[in-house]
Amino acid sequence: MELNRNKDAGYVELVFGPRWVYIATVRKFLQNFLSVTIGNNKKADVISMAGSELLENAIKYASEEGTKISCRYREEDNTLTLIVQNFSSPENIKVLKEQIDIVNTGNPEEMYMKKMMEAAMREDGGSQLGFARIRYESNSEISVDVDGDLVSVTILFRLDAFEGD
Amino acid sequence: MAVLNITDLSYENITLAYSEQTDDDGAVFASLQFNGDMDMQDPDSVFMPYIQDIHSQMSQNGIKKIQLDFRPLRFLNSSGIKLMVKWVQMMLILPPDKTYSMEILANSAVAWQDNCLKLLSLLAPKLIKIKLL
Repeated sequence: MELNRNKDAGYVELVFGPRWVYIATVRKFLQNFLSVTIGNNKKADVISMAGSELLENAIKYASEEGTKISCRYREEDNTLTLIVQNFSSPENIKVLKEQIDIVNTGNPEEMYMKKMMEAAMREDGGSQLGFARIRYESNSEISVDVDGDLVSVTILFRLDAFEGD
Repeated sequence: MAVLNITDLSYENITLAYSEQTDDDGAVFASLQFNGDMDMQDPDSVFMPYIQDIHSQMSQNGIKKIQLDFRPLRFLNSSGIKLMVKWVQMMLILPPDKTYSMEILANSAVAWQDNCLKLLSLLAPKLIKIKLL
């Protein structure tokens, strides 16, 4: 078991079953944890929103049990890394990578507006708005790694790059 | 007596509380307060029929404004944002004599309300005003 040997200024890791009802519980825990860790409620709100959106995606598109979220704060460069991992199918992984590539291009506000308009045309339960919202609200960097059917979505928040309290 | 036949709607962790108020000129306007967390997987299926009902009754009864009070809402997920965008799109296609405006009340201390609702108002700047309180 890893016990945070790197001695980051704040670290938490949660593994839970892919049930929608747990998302709110994890989001509220994350918000409290981040308020204590970074001492800024507004930034904690934004990052916990991002965690919640990633978990929604992970649970919607999971191919089997198990979702992991980890959060690591580094005081020396004032960054916070949020990682959500789950198992997914090749088809869903392809769509996920495409969505992240699209959202990472262009102006975050314009992309968010564009994705809002596209979302409104969708008749299924999905919105595909989550990544655009995260990037717009936090100016963060979103990346994805795939190892077989294990998907890791990472968001790097530079805490000086978006508005807080 | 209320002009529109709309009641409150509660589902899971959220309540939409409907009321009617009168402005300084004596005109009746609709008011919808969002309480709780909108974080369900598919809010469209629950809330879209309710929103469509408000939308239709407003345009049929000549109500020219609705105030949406998001301040008590703790969280709105992206599927909830999609729902709001759909509402705005319904407003945009109404003929001028049937249309109405939307006033959004948001809490500037809550990050997502400050960020996200401001952007929503840009979808229809002539019809939507936001008050950050």
